Amino acid sequence: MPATDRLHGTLDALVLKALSAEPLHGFGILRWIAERTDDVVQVEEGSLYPALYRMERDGWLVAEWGVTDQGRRAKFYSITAKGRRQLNAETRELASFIAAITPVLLPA
Amino acid sequence: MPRARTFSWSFLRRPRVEDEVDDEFAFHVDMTMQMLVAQGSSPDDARAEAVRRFGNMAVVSAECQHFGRQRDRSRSRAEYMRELLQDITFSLRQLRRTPGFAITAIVTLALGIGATAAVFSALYAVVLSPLPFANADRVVQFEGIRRGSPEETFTGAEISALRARTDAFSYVAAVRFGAGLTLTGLDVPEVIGGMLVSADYLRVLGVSPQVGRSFVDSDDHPGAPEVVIISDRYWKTRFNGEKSIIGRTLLVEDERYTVIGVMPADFDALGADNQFWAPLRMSAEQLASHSGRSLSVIARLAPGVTLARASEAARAAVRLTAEKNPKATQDVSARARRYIDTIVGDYRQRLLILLGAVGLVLLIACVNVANLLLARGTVRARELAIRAALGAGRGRLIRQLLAESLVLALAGATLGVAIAFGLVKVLVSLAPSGVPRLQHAGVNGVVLAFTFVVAIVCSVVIGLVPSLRTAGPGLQTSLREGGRGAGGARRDPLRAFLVATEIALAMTLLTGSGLLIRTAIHLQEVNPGFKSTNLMTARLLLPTRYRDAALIARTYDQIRTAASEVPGVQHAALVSMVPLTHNQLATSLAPEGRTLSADERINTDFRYTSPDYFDTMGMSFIDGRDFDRTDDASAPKVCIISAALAKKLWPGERAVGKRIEVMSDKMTVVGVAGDVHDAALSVPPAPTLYMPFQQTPAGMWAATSRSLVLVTRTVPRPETILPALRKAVMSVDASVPLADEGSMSDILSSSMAKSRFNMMLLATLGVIALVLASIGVYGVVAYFVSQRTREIGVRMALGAAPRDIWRLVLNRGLRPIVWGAIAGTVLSLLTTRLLREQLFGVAPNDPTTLMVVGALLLGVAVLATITPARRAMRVMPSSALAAE
Repeated sequence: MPATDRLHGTLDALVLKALSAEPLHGFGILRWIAERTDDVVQVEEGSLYPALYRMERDGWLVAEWGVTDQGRRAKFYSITAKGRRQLNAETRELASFIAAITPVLLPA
Repeated sequence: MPRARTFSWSFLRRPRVEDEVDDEFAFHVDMTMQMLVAQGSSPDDARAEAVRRFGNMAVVSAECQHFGRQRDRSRSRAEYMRELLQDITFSLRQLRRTPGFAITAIVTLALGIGATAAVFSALYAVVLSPLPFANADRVVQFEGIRRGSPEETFTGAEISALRARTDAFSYVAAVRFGAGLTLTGLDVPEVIGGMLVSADYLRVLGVSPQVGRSFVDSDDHPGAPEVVIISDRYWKTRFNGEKSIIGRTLLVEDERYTVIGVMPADFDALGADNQFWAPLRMSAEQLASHSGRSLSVIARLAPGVTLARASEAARAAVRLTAEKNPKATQDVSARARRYIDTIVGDYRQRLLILLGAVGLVLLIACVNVANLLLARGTVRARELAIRAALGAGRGRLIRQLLAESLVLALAGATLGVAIAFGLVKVLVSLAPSGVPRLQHAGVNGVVLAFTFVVAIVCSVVIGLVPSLRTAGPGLQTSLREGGRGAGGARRDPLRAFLVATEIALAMTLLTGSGLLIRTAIHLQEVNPGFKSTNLMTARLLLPTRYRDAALIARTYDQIRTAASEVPGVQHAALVSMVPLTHNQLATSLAPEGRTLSADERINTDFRYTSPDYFDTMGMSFIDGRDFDRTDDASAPKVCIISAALAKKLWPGERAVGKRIEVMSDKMTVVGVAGDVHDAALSVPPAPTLYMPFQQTPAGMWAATSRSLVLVTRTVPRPETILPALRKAVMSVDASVPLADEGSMSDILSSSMAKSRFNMMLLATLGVIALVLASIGVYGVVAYFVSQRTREIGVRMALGAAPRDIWRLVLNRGLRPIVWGAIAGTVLSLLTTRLLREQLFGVAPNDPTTLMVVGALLLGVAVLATITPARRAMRVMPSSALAAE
């Protein structure tokens, strides 16, 4: 599997995972990922938004304009059934990828 | 965590993608800034940092917009499809509520579409489908033009000259069509038909045998071992398609022909009677000869050569040849035609006319359905008005109505395809034999695609007018009128226009079929010049071992004697060709003592006959005597000429006793025979020269493959004596086969088959058009009466006599019919010109036909009007008013 696809796939998986609990706006997704990974994974805005629009086009996400707790208009993304299937697939592939490279890079 | 309050934004004006991305990014930058400020940054630093995190914001934004636009496009497509699906399900529900209407409309359309699809599949099979050759459009056939008249055949010298033009033609092949091989070594000798071709033939066509090999140049040399390629059909029927056929020998008149190949199956479509191809083997002398024009020539164009340049090269080649032979006419020319065009011939035009005619029927069917929809549209105007009042846009309403007509048309097309399946079979089985490639007609992918397009066009035709009208500005009034009808229905120009259109179209079709019917009647009345009943014909071929002309003549004389002794045979005679079989031999002649230039000589067909030919055929004999057995090779040369030839040679003088010069011979005219329609009943009799078969020169026997036709006049039905006839022939020589057996009545009727077939089809279409148009008229007038019941009631209550009501309704019904008849006359005059070539004895603008058709149409239309008009007369004022 080409490295760029792997990276795409990983970002997609992280975003879909973030949205699988509840709808979030873009900033919220970044915060969610940063908090869960203790700021180890720093997703850039320049990668996040094209990924969101792409996934929305492909029907993995739907977006709606809503209002935040602070009363600001924001675009909220939520995951679709199709998105959940994609998340499962990505997770499985990621797991097998890690299982494959771990003994190579980190020999016991 | 922020909570999203869900509300659908699709009702709002959809924001442009640019704004959407900008807003979203701005929000993100603000949120990042807030977070950084909270962590202790200065607002300015925080903003700079927030923006920096986006990288090149313009690029990121462009990328997002790109995906966003793709998303919007697929969404609006999906939305459109969803609405269309809604419209269609709604239409289906509506149609199910009015099954009578739905069935009438669908069946009407199905008949029209099915007939159109069937005719189109014939057109596709015969005209449009490509030939099974490599680059078939590069194959041409030459046509010579000699003294202004076209000729398909060329001399050896001309063929050599065409071959020399390698700049224009990659390959040039000579072909003798209609050749026969007599297969012996069977119980009864059998003749198979085929072609003799030069070695380049298959290279010209770009076709290779499916089994075995092509001809090579050495096969084509005189004296080479005999080889033959057979057709797929013959291979399958005779040899069960065994591969071992290659290398086997066929016994042809005691000579061994080795089978070297089998042509591909799709090659059979070009001519079912071609069962073999054998090398032509022209000698050097033949290739230099300026006489004996019996070969057709086809060629493959050299790369980059256009049809015009090919014609140019062909013309130059035949002119060059003519200059080398100054005795012959110099008025020669030639042209190249695409091979497909020479195969298809005038069927292109015939089938296009037929497609046009069936298209008119379909149009009438569409108009009928449009009329039905219009009437329904009026009834439904209230429902539509309510929907419009509830906010449905005009476009949406029109689409709803178009969806309905689309559903009708597609249902009609589906049923129509089923009808077409059957109709094509009927068409193929009724068609005259010899229509090229028609056997392969069927409902294929191309026909289905065509039918689908036709259905779409139909749905627009039947839907657009009523929907524009129904959803038009008059919509509001129908609410006010209590649903009685769309606004302004007092006069109904649209509906009248539709009726007039139907009448005009039906009239055009009926005029066309009327002209063809009159043509058929005229043809029936033509005296062919012979009595066709109880005449049997069969072609005889003497094997190659008959080399001596005297032996040939003697054998044929014995055969004639044997045939005349068969019980039931009154007369038996021999002739080189019977009339109406398209195999004329032609030459030119001059009266003795008059020197005529090549261009002044008189063209004539010629035949060799035995004694008693004219009596056997039942022809009239005008002057002089018939041939006698003593008019043999040793006797002085004599001939009999047809009345038409006598008139050309010596107008106003007695021909008997005078002498002519023909084919470097001189002969005395001993008799004048009546004229015979030789080429076709619709063609005036050609001048014909008859010579006794015993005086046939040896070279002519070779050119005709030592063949004559045995003609017998019989007492019982001609077919019944065929076995006895065959036995009589075999009693003379058991290896002489009979071929092309057929009664003269069959030959006569098959010569008219083409025109009768066209007449039958067009007449059928005309009758369908008439029925559809009268249904249309009836429907409109009946509708008028039902809508006006109240008005009629009021008028009667106010003292109008039934006669006045009668006049009102008839007036309303007849006015569009009269207009339609006038338009139909004009349309007929414009379109029947296309039929000119198929007509005989009647002009395309024949006033009698127009008048008869007009009267017929008006009569039927009046009948269709009378029934509802009578109903109107019986309207009871009380009940009409009470109904309100």
